[in-house]
Amino acid sequence: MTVSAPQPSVAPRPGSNRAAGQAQLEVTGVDKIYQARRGEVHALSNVDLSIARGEFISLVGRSGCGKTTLLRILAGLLPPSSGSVTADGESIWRGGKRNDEAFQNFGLVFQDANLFPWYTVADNISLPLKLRGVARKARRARAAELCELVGLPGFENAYPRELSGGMRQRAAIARALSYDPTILLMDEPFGALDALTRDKMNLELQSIHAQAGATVVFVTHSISEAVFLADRVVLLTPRPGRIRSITPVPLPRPRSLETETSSEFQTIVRELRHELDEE
Amino acid sequence: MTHLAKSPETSAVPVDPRPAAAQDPDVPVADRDNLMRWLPFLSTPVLLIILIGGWQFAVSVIGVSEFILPAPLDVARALGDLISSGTIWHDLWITLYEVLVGFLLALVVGTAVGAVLGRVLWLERALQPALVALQVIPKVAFIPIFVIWFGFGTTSKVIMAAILAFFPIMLNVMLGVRSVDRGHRDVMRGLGASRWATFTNLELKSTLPYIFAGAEVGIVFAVIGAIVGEYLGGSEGLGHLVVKSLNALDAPSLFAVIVLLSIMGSLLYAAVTLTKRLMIPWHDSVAGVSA
Repeated sequence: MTVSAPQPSVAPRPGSNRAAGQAQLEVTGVDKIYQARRGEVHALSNVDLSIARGEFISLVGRSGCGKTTLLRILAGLLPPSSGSVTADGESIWRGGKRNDEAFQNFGLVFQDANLFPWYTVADNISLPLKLRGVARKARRARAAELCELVGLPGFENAYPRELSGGMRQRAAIARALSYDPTILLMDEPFGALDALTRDKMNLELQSIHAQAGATVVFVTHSISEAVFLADRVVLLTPRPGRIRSITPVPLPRPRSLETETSSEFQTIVRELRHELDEE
Repeated sequence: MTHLAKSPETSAVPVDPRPAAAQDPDVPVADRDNLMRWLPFLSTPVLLIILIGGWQFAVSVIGVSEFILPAPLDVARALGDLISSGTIWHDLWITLYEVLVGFLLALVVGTAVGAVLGRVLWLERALQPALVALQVIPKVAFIPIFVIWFGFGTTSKVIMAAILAFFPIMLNVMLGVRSVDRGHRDVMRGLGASRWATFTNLELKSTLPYIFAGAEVGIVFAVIGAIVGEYLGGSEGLGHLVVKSLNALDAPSLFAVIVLLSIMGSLLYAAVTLTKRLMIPWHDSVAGVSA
Protein backbone atom coordinates (compact mmCIF):
# COMPACT_ATOMS: atom_id res chain seq x y z
CA MET A 1 0.00 0.00 0.00
CA THR A 2 1.28 3.43 -0.81
CA VAL A 3 -0.07 5.97 1.56
CA SER A 4 2.98 8.13 1.40
CA ALA A 5 3.44 10.73 4.08
CA PRO A 6 4.38 13.81 2.01
CA GLN A 7 1.13 13.69 0.08
CA PRO A 8 -1.51 15.91 1.75
CA SER A 9 -3.62 13.40 3.59
CA VAL A 10 -6.88 15.31 3.25
CA ALA A 11 -7.54 14.57 -0.41
CA PRO A 12 -9.68 11.47 -0.84
CA ARG A 13 -9.24 9.55 -4.05
CA PRO A 14 -11.80 10.92 -6.46
CA GLY A 15 -14.39 8.54 -7.79
CA SER A 16 -13.79 5.88 -5.19
CA ASN A 17 -16.92 6.83 -3.26
CA ARG A 18 -20.13 5.06 -3.87
CA ALA A 19 -22.04 8.23 -3.19
CA ALA A 20 -19.56 10.63 -4.66
CA GLY A 21 -19.54 14.07 -3.11
CA GLN A 22 -21.91 13.07 -0.34
CA ALA A 23 -19.47 11.12 1.77
CA GLN A 24 -19.56 12.39 5.31
CA LEU A 25 -16.91 10.10 6.70
CA GLU A 26 -14.01 9.06 4.54
CA VAL A 27 -11.48 6.47 5.67
CA THR A 28 -8.50 6.13 3.36
CA GLY A 29 -5.76 3.55 3.68
CA VAL A 30 -5.88 3.39 7.45
CA ASP A 31 -3.36 1.17 9.23
CA LYS A 32 -3.08 0.67 12.94
CA ILE A 33 -0.13 -1.03 14.55
CA TYR A 34 0.00 -1.49 18.31
CA GLN A 35 3.33 -1.77 20.05
CA ALA A 36 2.75 -4.78 22.24
CA ARG A 37 5.22 -6.35 24.62
CA ARG A 38 5.93 -9.14 22.16
CA GLY A 39 6.47 -7.22 18.97
CA GLU A 40 3.91 -5.44 16.89
CA VAL A 41 0.24 -6.21 16.54
CA HIS A 42 -1.22 -5.30 13.21
CA ALA A 43 -4.74 -4.33 14.29
CA LEU A 44 -5.90 -2.74 11.04
CA SER A 45 -4.48 -2.99 7.57
CA ASN A 46 -5.33 -0.74 4.66
CA VAL A 47 -8.92 0.06 5.50
CA ASP A 48 -10.83 2.12 2.94
CA LEU A 49 -14.39 3.08 3.70
CA SER A 50 -16.64 5.85 2.56
CA ILE A 51 -19.80 6.54 4.53
CA ALA A 52 -22.58 8.65 3.06
CA ARG A 53 -24.68 11.18 4.93
CA GLY A 54 -27.59 9.58 6.75
CA GLU A 55 -26.31 6.08 6.11
CA PHE A 56 -26.44 3.30 8.71
CA ILE A 57 -23.30 1.19 8.64
CA SER A 58 -22.73 -1.93 10.73
CA LEU A 59 -19.23 -3.18 11.41
CA VAL A 60 -19.26 -6.93 12.10
CA GLY A 61 -16.59 -9.48 12.78
CA ARG A 62 -15.32 -11.85 15.42
CA SER A 63 -13.55 -10.47 18.45
CA GLY A 64 -10.09 -9.20 17.72
CA CYS A 65 -10.87 -8.25 14.13
CA GLY A 66 -10.23 -4.59 14.83
CA LYS A 67 -13.78 -3.30 14.70
CA THR A 68 -13.51 -1.45 17.98
CA THR A 69 -10.10 -0.14 16.92
CA LEU A 70 -11.61 1.20 13.70
CA LEU A 71 -14.43 2.86 15.61
CA ARG A 72 -12.02 4.43 18.09
CA ILE A 73 -10.00 5.77 15.18
CA LEU A 74 -13.18 7.22 13.68
CA ALA A 75 -13.98 8.77 17.07
CA GLY A 76 -10.55 10.31 17.31
CA LEU A 77 -9.73 8.40 20.48
CA LEU A 78 -6.89 6.56 18.74
CA PRO A 79 -4.57 7.98 16.09
CA PRO A 80 -4.11 5.78 13.01
CA SER A 81 -0.55 4.64 12.31
CA SER A 82 -0.98 5.75 8.73
CA GLY A 83 -3.72 6.75 6.35
CA SER A 84 -6.30 9.45 6.84
CA VAL A 85 -9.81 9.97 8.14
CA THR A 86 -11.86 12.96 7.10
CA ALA A 87 -15.22 14.15 8.35
CA ASP A 88 -17.02 16.53 6.01
CA GLY A 89 -13.77 16.94 4.15
CA GLU A 90 -11.81 17.95 7.23
CA SER A 91 -9.02 15.79 8.53
CA ILE A 92 -9.80 14.62 12.07
CA TRP A 93 -6.14 14.65 13.05
CA ARG A 94 -4.19 17.81 12.75
CA GLY A 95 -0.50 17.86 13.51
CA GLY A 96 -0.70 14.83 15.79
CA LYS A 97 -3.58 16.31 17.76
CA ARG A 98 -7.25 15.50 17.72
CA ASN A 99 -9.04 18.11 15.65
CA ASP A 100 -11.86 18.79 18.09
CA GLU A 101 -13.65 21.09 15.66
CA ALA A 102 -14.16 18.25 13.19
CA PHE A 103 -15.83 16.28 16.01
CA GLN A 104 -18.42 18.91 16.85
CA ASN A 105 -21.11 16.79 15.25
CA PHE A 106 -20.00 13.40 16.53
CA GLY A 107 -21.94 11.45 19.15
CA LEU A 108 -20.30 8.49 20.85
CA VAL A 109 -21.89 5.54 22.62
CA PHE A 110 -19.63 2.99 24.23
CA GLN A 111 -19.91 -0.62 25.31
CA ASP A 112 -20.46 0.60 28.86
CA ALA A 113 -22.85 3.42 29.56
CA ASN A 114 -20.01 5.40 31.21
CA LEU A 115 -22.42 7.68 33.03
CA PHE A 116 -20.88 9.84 35.72
CA PRO A 117 -22.16 8.53 39.07
CA TRP A 118 -21.99 11.99 40.66
CA TYR A 119 -24.46 13.48 38.23
CA THR A 120 -28.16 12.77 37.99
CA VAL A 121 -29.54 11.31 34.79
CA ALA A 122 -30.52 14.78 33.59
CA ASP A 123 -27.08 16.21 34.33
CA ASN A 124 -25.41 13.27 32.59
CA ILE A 125 -27.56 13.65 29.52
CA SER A 126 -26.96 17.38 29.28
CA LEU A 127 -23.23 17.23 30.07
CA PRO A 128 -22.25 17.86 26.42
CA LEU A 129 -24.48 20.94 26.43
CA LYS A 130 -22.84 22.14 29.63
CA LEU A 131 -19.45 21.87 27.92
CA ARG A 132 -20.85 23.96 25.09
CA GLY A 133 -21.97 26.66 27.47
CA VAL A 134 -25.73 26.13 27.18
CA ALA A 135 -27.65 27.75 30.04
CA ARG A 136 -28.88 25.56 32.87
CA LYS A 137 -32.55 26.00 32.16
CA ALA A 138 -32.24 25.09 28.51
CA ARG A 139 -30.19 22.07 29.50
CA ARG A 140 -32.89 20.83 31.87
CA ALA A 141 -35.54 21.24 29.21
CA ARG A 142 -33.48 19.36 26.66
CA ALA A 143 -32.71 16.58 29.16
CA ALA A 144 -36.41 16.12 29.93
CA GLU A 145 -37.14 15.96 26.21
CA LEU A 146 -34.45 13.33 25.67
CA CYS A 147 -35.58 11.26 28.66
CA GLU A 148 -38.91 11.09 26.94
CA LEU A 149 -37.32 10.12 23.63
CA VAL A 150 -35.28 7.21 24.98
CA GLY A 151 -38.04 6.03 27.31
CA LEU A 152 -36.78 7.27 30.66
CA PRO A 153 -39.46 9.79 31.59
CA GLY A 154 -39.51 10.68 35.28
CA PHE A 155 -35.92 9.54 35.84
CA GLU A 156 -34.33 12.96 35.38
CA ASN A 157 -33.33 13.25 39.03
CA ALA A 158 -32.31 9.65 39.60
CA TYR A 159 -28.66 8.74 39.97
CA PRO A 160 -27.16 6.23 37.52
CA ARG A 161 -26.74 3.56 40.20
CA GLU A 162 -30.52 3.58 40.66
CA LEU A 163 -31.01 2.47 37.05
CA SER A 164 -30.79 -0.97 35.49
CA GLY A 165 -28.20 -1.71 32.80
CA GLY A 166 -30.59 -1.12 29.93
CA MET A 167 -31.79 2.15 31.38
CA ARG A 168 -28.21 3.36 31.80
CA GLN A 169 -27.47 2.53 28.19
CA ARG A 170 -30.53 4.51 27.13
CA ALA A 171 -29.29 7.47 29.15
CA ALA A 172 -25.92 7.14 27.43
CA ILE A 173 -27.63 7.24 24.05
CA ALA A 174 -29.61 10.28 25.15
CA ARG A 175 -26.35 11.96 26.16
CA ALA A 176 -24.91 11.26 22.72
CA LEU A 177 -28.02 12.71 21.09
CA SER A 178 -28.21 15.81 23.29
CA TYR A 179 -26.43 18.13 20.86
CA ASP A 180 -28.04 16.71 17.72
CA PRO A 181 -24.96 15.07 16.25
CA THR A 182 -25.01 14.23 12.58
CA ILE A 183 -22.74 11.21 13.09
CA LEU A 184 -23.35 8.58 15.76
CA LEU A 185 -20.56 6.12 16.52
CA MET A 186 -21.71 3.17 18.61
CA ASP A 187 -19.45 0.44 19.95
CA GLU A 188 -21.56 -2.62 20.82
CA PRO A 189 -23.89 -0.39 22.79
CA PHE A 190 -26.27 -3.24 23.59
CA GLY A 191 -23.62 -5.91 24.10
CA ALA A 192 -24.26 -6.24 27.81
CA LEU A 193 -28.03 -6.47 27.51
CA ASP A 194 -30.21 -9.55 27.35
CA ALA A 195 -31.75 -10.61 24.04
CA LEU A 196 -35.23 -9.23 24.70
CA THR A 197 -33.98 -5.83 25.76
CA ARG A 198 -31.66 -5.79 22.81
CA ASP A 199 -34.49 -6.30 20.32
CA LYS A 200 -36.34 -3.44 21.89
CA MET A 201 -33.33 -1.15 21.88
CA ASN A 202 -32.63 -1.98 18.25
CA LEU A 203 -36.14 -0.96 17.30
CA GLU A 204 -35.72 2.27 19.22
CA LEU A 205 -32.36 2.95 17.66
CA GLN A 206 -33.93 2.47 14.25
CA SER A 207 -36.62 5.02 14.95
CA ILE A 208 -34.09 7.46 16.43
CA HIS A 209 -32.02 7.07 13.26
CA ALA A 210 -35.09 7.66 11.14
CA GLN A 211 -36.14 10.70 13.15
CA ALA A 212 -32.76 12.36 13.59
CA GLY A 213 -31.50 11.43 10.14
CA ALA A 214 -28.01 10.96 11.51
CA THR A 215 -25.25 8.87 10.01
CA VAL A 216 -24.63 5.85 12.22
CA VAL A 217 -21.62 3.56 12.49
CA PHE A 218 -22.60 0.61 14.64
CA VAL A 219 -20.15 -2.02 15.87
CA THR A 220 -21.54 -5.43 16.80
CA HIS A 221 -20.56 -9.07 16.75
CA SER A 222 -24.11 -10.21 16.03
CA ILE A 223 -24.70 -10.68 12.33
CA SER A 224 -28.48 -10.55 12.58
CA GLU A 225 -28.35 -7.35 14.62
CA ALA A 226 -26.04 -5.83 12.01
CA VAL A 227 -28.27 -6.81 9.11
CA PHE A 228 -31.41 -5.71 10.91
CA LEU A 229 -30.13 -2.18 11.47
CA ALA A 230 -27.82 -1.41 8.59
CA ASP A 231 -27.96 -0.03 5.08
CA ARG A 232 -24.58 -1.66 4.50
CA VAL A 233 -22.84 -4.33 6.55
CA VAL A 234 -19.05 -4.14 6.64
CA LEU A 235 -17.47 -7.49 7.44
CA LEU A 236 -14.03 -7.34 9.04
CA THR A 237 -11.61 -10.24 9.32
CA PRO A 238 -8.80 -10.48 11.88
CA ARG A 239 -5.00 -10.74 11.74
CA PRO A 240 -4.56 -8.18 10.38
CA GLY A 241 -7.93 -6.50 10.63
CA ARG A 242 -9.18 -5.59 7.19
CA ILE A 243 -12.44 -5.23 5.32
CA ARG A 244 -13.46 -8.52 3.76
CA SER A 245 -16.71 -7.46 2.19
CA ILE A 246 -19.35 -4.76 2.16
CA THR A 247 -22.89 -6.09 1.82
CA PRO A 248 -25.79 -3.78 1.02
CA VAL A 249 -29.05 -4.56 2.83
CA PRO A 250 -31.93 -3.52 0.55
CA LEU A 251 -34.67 -4.42 3.02
CA PRO A 252 -37.40 -1.78 3.24
CA ARG A 253 -37.68 0.50 6.29
CA PRO A 254 -39.05 0.73 8.88
CA ARG A 255 -38.07 -2.81 9.73
CA SER A 256 -39.92 -4.72 12.41
CA LEU A 257 -39.19 -7.93 14.25
CA GLU A 258 -41.10 -9.71 11.45
CA THR A 259 -38.43 -8.55 9.05
CA GLU A 260 -36.09 -11.00 10.73
CA THR A 261 -38.29 -13.89 9.66
CA SER A 262 -38.39 -12.84 6.02
CA SER A 263 -36.44 -14.95 3.56
CA GLU A 264 -34.44 -12.00 2.19
CA PHE A 265 -33.21 -11.15 5.67
CA GLN A 266 -32.23 -14.72 6.34
CA THR A 267 -30.47 -15.07 3.01
CA ILE A 268 -28.26 -12.08 3.77
CA VAL A 269 -27.52 -13.34 7.27
CA ARG A 270 -26.68 -16.82 5.94
CA GLU A 271 -24.32 -15.46 3.31
CA LEU A 272 -22.50 -13.29 5.83
CA ARG A 273 -22.22 -16.20 8.23
CA HIS A 274 -20.71 -18.36 5.49
CA GLU A 275 -18.19 -15.67 4.77
CA LEU A 276 -17.24 -15.49 8.42
CA ASP A 277 -16.84 -19.26 8.60
CA GLU A 278 -14.64 -19.36 5.51
CA GLU A 279 -11.85 -17.49 7.26
CA MET B 1 -32.28 10.75 48.31
CA THR B 2 -34.71 9.85 45.64
CA HIS B 3 -36.28 6.52 46.31
CA LEU B 4 -37.03 5.58 42.75
CA ALA B 5 -35.18 2.33 42.92
CA LYS B 6 -33.94 0.84 46.15
CA SER B 7 -31.02 -0.90 44.51
CA PRO B 8 -30.06 -2.27 41.13
CA GLU B 9 -30.37 -5.81 42.46
CA THR B 10 -33.96 -5.63 43.62
CA SER B 11 -35.06 -3.78 40.52
CA ALA B 12 -33.52 -6.19 38.10
CA VAL B 13 -36.32 -5.97 35.53
CA PRO B 14 -33.88 -4.74 32.93
CA VAL B 15 -35.76 -2.43 30.65
CA ASP B 16 -39.16 -1.04 30.96
CA PRO B 17 -39.79 2.56 30.07
CA ARG B 18 -42.10 3.19 33.02
CA PRO B 19 -40.61 4.39 36.28
CA ALA B 20 -42.76 1.89 38.13
CA ALA B 21 -40.57 -0.93 36.90
CA ALA B 22 -37.71 0.09 39.12
CA GLN B 23 -39.92 0.62 42.13
CA ASP B 24 -40.10 -2.96 43.24
CA PRO B 25 -42.51 -2.68 46.17
CA ASP B 26 -40.73 -5.14 48.38
CA VAL B 27 -42.09 -4.28 51.81
CA PRO B 28 -40.04 -6.67 54.00
CA VAL B 29 -36.82 -5.33 52.47
CA ALA B 30 -37.90 -1.76 53.17
CA ASP B 31 -38.72 -2.70 56.76
CA ARG B 32 -35.34 -4.27 57.25
CA ASP B 33 -33.71 -1.21 55.73
CA ASN B 34 -35.49 0.97 58.24
CA LEU B 35 -34.44 -1.19 61.14
CA MET B 36 -30.84 -1.19 59.90
CA ARG B 37 -30.89 2.58 59.82
CA TRP B 38 -32.06 2.95 63.39
CA LEU B 39 -30.11 0.07 64.89
CA PRO B 40 -27.01 2.11 65.85
CA PHE B 41 -29.18 4.61 67.72
CA LEU B 42 -30.56 1.77 69.82
CA SER B 43 -27.40 -0.24 70.28
CA THR B 44 -25.08 2.61 71.25
CA PRO B 45 -26.95 3.62 74.45
CA VAL B 46 -27.18 -0.05 75.39
CA LEU B 47 -23.43 -0.51 74.94
CA LEU B 48 -22.77 2.65 76.92
CA ILE B 49 -24.95 1.43 79.79
CA ILE B 50 -23.18 -1.94 79.77
CA LEU B 51 -19.80 -0.19 79.85
CA ILE B 52 -20.67 2.13 82.73
CA GLY B 53 -22.47 -0.67 84.57
CA GLY B 54 -19.44 -2.94 84.26
CA TRP B 55 -17.22 -0.09 85.39
CA GLN B 56 -19.37 0.57 88.47
CA PHE B 57 -19.44 -3.17 89.13
CA ALA B 58 -15.64 -3.35 89.04
CA VAL B 59 -15.36 -0.48 91.48
CA SER B 60 -18.04 -1.31 94.02
CA VAL B 61 -18.28 -5.13 93.90
CA ILE B 62 -14.78 -6.27 92.90
CA GLY B 63 -13.27 -3.35 94.79
CA VAL B 64 -10.63 -2.05 92.40
CA SER B 65 -8.59 0.72 94.03
CA GLU B 66 -9.91 4.16 93.21
CA PHE B 67 -6.40 5.27 92.25
CA ILE B 68 -6.54 2.75 89.44
CA LEU B 69 -10.18 3.03 88.52
CA PRO B 70 -12.27 5.83 90.03
CA ALA B 71 -16.04 5.32 90.20
CA PRO B 72 -18.07 6.65 87.26
CA LEU B 73 -19.77 9.18 89.52
CA ASP B 74 -16.42 10.53 90.75
CA VAL B 75 -15.34 10.97 87.16
CA ALA B 76 -18.59 12.73 86.34
CA ARG B 77 -18.08 15.03 89.31
CA ALA B 78 -14.50 15.77 88.25
CA LEU B 79 -15.78 16.51 84.76
CA GLY B 80 -18.35 18.91 86.21
CA ASP B 81 -15.65 20.63 88.25
CA LEU B 82 -13.41 20.95 85.22
CA ILE B 83 -16.13 22.50 83.13
CA SER B 84 -17.32 24.89 85.82
CA SER B 85 -13.76 25.97 86.67
CA GLY B 86 -13.53 27.73 83.33
CA THR B 87 -9.85 27.16 82.59
CA ILE B 88 -10.76 24.00 80.71
CA TRP B 89 -12.14 26.07 77.83
CA HIS B 90 -8.75 27.56 77.16
CA ASP B 91 -7.10 24.13 77.08
CA LEU B 92 -9.88 22.74 74.94
CA TRP B 93 -9.52 25.60 72.49
CA ILE B 94 -5.73 25.15 72.29
CA THR B 95 -6.03 21.47 71.46
CA LEU B 96 -8.85 22.08 69.02
CA TYR B 97 -6.83 24.79 67.32
CA GLU B 98 -3.82 22.51 66.96
CA VAL B 99 -5.91 19.69 65.54
CA LEU B 100 -7.85 21.87 63.10
CA VAL B 101 -4.90 23.84 61.77
CA GLY B 102 -2.80 20.69 61.49
CA PHE B 103 -5.60 18.83 59.74
CA LEU B 104 -6.34 21.64 57.28
CA LEU B 105 -2.64 21.94 56.48
CA ALA B 106 -2.48 18.21 55.85
CA LEU B 107 -5.63 18.35 53.74
CA VAL B 108 -4.34 21.11 51.48
CA VAL B 109 -0.75 19.87 51.18
CA GLY B 110 -1.74 16.21 51.06
CA THR B 111 -4.27 16.78 48.30
CA ALA B 112 -1.82 18.85 46.27
CA VAL B 113 1.09 16.44 46.68
CA GLY B 114 -1.14 13.41 46.09
CA ALA B 115 -2.58 14.95 42.93
CA VAL B 116 0.86 15.75 41.55
CA LEU B 117 2.35 12.36 42.43
CA GLY B 118 -0.71 10.62 41.02
CA ARG B 119 -0.29 12.30 37.66
CA VAL B 120 3.48 12.58 37.28
CA LEU B 121 4.56 8.98 37.21
CA TRP B 122 8.32 9.50 37.09
CA LEU B 123 8.21 11.78 40.13
CA GLU B 124 6.26 9.23 42.10
CA ARG B 125 8.78 6.53 41.17
CA ALA B 126 11.66 8.78 42.10
CA LEU B 127 10.20 9.70 45.47
CA GLN B 128 8.69 6.35 46.37
CA PRO B 129 11.57 5.03 48.51
CA ALA B 130 11.70 8.31 50.41
CA LEU B 131 7.93 8.27 50.89
CA VAL B 132 7.93 4.71 52.18
CA ALA B 133 10.77 5.55 54.55
CA LEU B 134 8.93 8.60 55.87
CA GLN B 135 5.80 6.56 56.34
CA VAL B 136 7.50 3.74 58.20
CA ILE B 137 9.37 6.02 60.62
CA PRO B 138 7.52 6.37 63.93
CA LYS B 139 6.77 10.04 63.50
CA VAL B 140 5.90 10.55 67.16
CA ALA B 141 9.60 10.12 67.84
CA PHE B 142 10.20 13.46 66.15
CA ILE B 143 8.25 15.48 68.68
CA PRO B 144 11.29 16.33 70.82
CA ILE B 145 13.03 17.59 67.69
CA PHE B 146 10.03 19.74 66.81
CA VAL B 147 10.03 21.10 70.34
CA ILE B 148 13.67 22.09 69.90
CA TRP B 149 12.93 23.67 66.52
CA PHE B 150 9.57 25.27 67.12
CA GLY B 151 9.41 25.69 70.86
CA PHE B 152 6.94 24.56 73.49
CA GLY B 153 4.06 26.52 71.97
CA THR B 154 1.34 25.32 69.65
CA THR B 155 3.46 25.31 66.47
CA SER B 156 5.24 22.06 67.25
CA LYS B 157 1.91 20.33 67.93
CA VAL B 158 0.30 21.72 64.80
CA ILE B 159 3.17 20.32 62.79
CA MET B 160 2.90 16.94 64.49
CA ALA B 161 -0.84 16.81 63.79
CA ALA B 162 -0.26 17.84 60.18
CA ILE B 163 2.43 15.25 59.57
CA LEU B 164 0.36 12.41 60.99
CA ALA B 165 -2.72 13.42 58.98
CA PHE B 166 -0.74 14.07 55.81
CA PHE B 167 0.07 10.50 54.79
CA PRO B 168 -3.38 8.92 54.71
CA ILE B 169 -4.72 11.92 52.79
CA MET B 170 -1.85 12.07 50.32
CA LEU B 171 -1.91 8.32 49.63
CA ASN B 172 -5.67 8.28 49.09
CA VAL B 173 -5.59 11.26 46.75
CA MET B 174 -2.78 9.65 44.77
CA LEU B 175 -4.86 6.51 44.41
CA GLY B 176 -7.93 8.57 43.54
CA VAL B 177 -6.22 10.53 40.80
CA ARG B 178 -5.04 7.27 39.25
CA SER B 179 -8.44 5.63 39.53
CA VAL B 180 -10.28 7.94 37.18
CA ASP B 181 -12.29 5.60 34.99
CA ARG B 182 -10.91 5.11 31.46
CA GLY B 183 -14.38 4.97 30.00
CA HIS B 184 -15.22 8.28 31.66
CA ARG B 185 -12.07 9.78 30.19
CA ASP B 186 -13.13 8.54 26.76
CA VAL B 187 -16.46 10.31 27.18
CA MET B 188 -14.76 13.61 27.93
CA ARG B 189 -12.22 13.16 25.13
CA GLY B 190 -14.96 12.22 22.72
CA LEU B 191 -16.76 15.43 23.59
CA GLY B 192 -13.62 17.42 22.98
CA ALA B 193 -13.67 18.70 26.55
CA SER B 194 -11.02 21.17 27.65
CA ARG B 195 -8.54 20.26 30.37
CA TRP B 196 -10.32 22.50 32.83
CA ALA B 197 -13.74 21.02 32.01
CA THR B 198 -12.30 17.53 32.38
CA PHE B 199 -10.85 18.49 35.73
CA THR B 200 -14.03 19.99 37.20
CA ASN B 201 -16.54 17.54 35.73
CA LEU B 202 -14.53 14.36 35.99
CA GLU B 203 -11.21 14.28 37.81
CA LEU B 204 -12.18 16.36 40.83
CA LYS B 205 -15.54 14.66 41.23
CA SER B 206 -14.15 11.18 40.98
CA THR B 207 -11.30 11.97 43.41
CA LEU B 208 -13.55 13.51 46.09
CA PRO B 209 -14.51 10.15 47.67
CA TYR B 210 -10.81 9.35 48.01
CA ILE B 211 -10.09 12.74 49.57
CA PHE B 212 -12.80 12.09 52.12
CA ALA B 213 -11.57 8.57 52.80
CA GLY B 214 -8.18 10.11 53.56
CA ALA B 215 -9.71 12.91 55.61
CA GLU B 216 -11.65 10.50 57.81
CA VAL B 217 -8.43 8.78 58.79
CA GLY B 218 -6.53 12.06 58.79
CA ILE B 219 -8.72 13.82 61.35
CA VAL B 220 -8.27 10.93 63.80
CA PHE B 221 -4.51 11.02 63.27
CA ALA B 222 -4.43 14.78 63.72
CA VAL B 223 -6.05 14.44 67.15
CA ILE B 224 -3.46 11.83 68.09
CA GLY B 225 -0.64 14.05 66.87
CA ALA B 226 -1.79 17.08 68.83
CA ILE B 227 -2.36 15.16 72.07
CA VAL B 228 0.90 13.24 71.98
CA GLY B 229 2.63 16.53 71.23
CA GLU B 230 1.08 18.03 74.33
CA TYR B 231 2.04 15.01 76.42
CA LEU B 232 5.68 15.47 75.62
CA GLY B 233 6.12 19.19 75.80
CA GLY B 234 4.14 22.29 76.57
CA SER B 235 2.09 23.95 79.27
CA GLU B 236 -1.42 24.07 77.84
CA GLY B 237 -3.96 21.94 76.06
CA LEU B 238 -5.93 18.86 77.06
CA GLY B 239 -2.90 16.61 76.61
CA HIS B 240 -0.99 18.72 79.08
CA LEU B 241 -3.96 18.51 81.45
CA VAL B 242 -3.76 14.72 81.29
CA VAL B 243 -0.10 14.82 82.29
CA LYS B 244 -0.83 17.33 85.03
CA SER B 245 -3.59 15.14 86.50
CA LEU B 246 -1.28 12.15 86.34
CA ASN B 247 1.46 13.99 88.20
CA ALA B 248 -1.07 15.02 90.86
CA LEU B 249 -2.28 11.39 91.01
CA ASP B 250 -5.77 12.78 90.46
CA ALA B 251 -7.36 9.78 88.75
CA PRO B 252 -10.92 11.16 88.48
CA SER B 253 -9.84 14.30 86.63
CA LEU B 254 -7.43 12.24 84.51
CA PHE B 255 -10.40 10.14 83.40
CA ALA B 256 -12.52 13.25 82.95
CA VAL B 257 -10.01 14.81 80.54
CA ILE B 258 -9.83 11.56 78.60
CA VAL B 259 -13.62 11.58 78.33
CA LEU B 260 -13.44 15.14 76.99
CA LEU B 261 -10.79 14.16 74.47
CA SER B 262 -12.90 11.24 73.29
CA ILE B 263 -15.90 13.49 72.82
CA MET B 264 -13.83 16.01 70.91
CA GLY B 265 -12.37 13.33 68.64
CA SER B 266 -15.80 11.87 67.95
CA LEU B 267 -17.30 15.25 67.12
CA LEU B 268 -14.48 16.10 64.74
CA TYR B 269 -14.84 12.77 62.99
CA ALA B 270 -18.59 13.29 62.78
CA ALA B 271 -18.01 16.72 61.24
CA VAL B 272 -15.85 15.20 58.49
CA THR B 273 -18.40 12.46 57.83
CA LEU B 274 -21.22 14.97 57.70
CA THR B 275 -19.31 17.09 55.19
CA LYS B 276 -18.79 13.97 53.14
CA ARG B 277 -22.49 13.18 53.19
CA LEU B 278 -23.30 16.66 51.99
CA MET B 279 -20.67 16.76 49.29
CA ILE B 280 -20.82 13.30 47.75
CA PRO B 281 -24.37 12.07 48.35
CA TRP B 282 -24.11 9.97 45.20
CA HIS B 283 -21.26 7.82 46.47
CA ASP B 284 -21.82 4.21 47.56
CA SER B 285 -20.17 4.84 50.93
CA VAL B 286 -22.86 7.46 51.62
CA ALA B 287 -25.88 6.08 49.83
CA GLY B 288 -25.46 2.72 51.58
CA VAL B 289 -26.04 0.04 48.98
CA SER B 290 -27.98 -2.45 51.06
CA ALA B 291 -29.12 -5.26 48.84
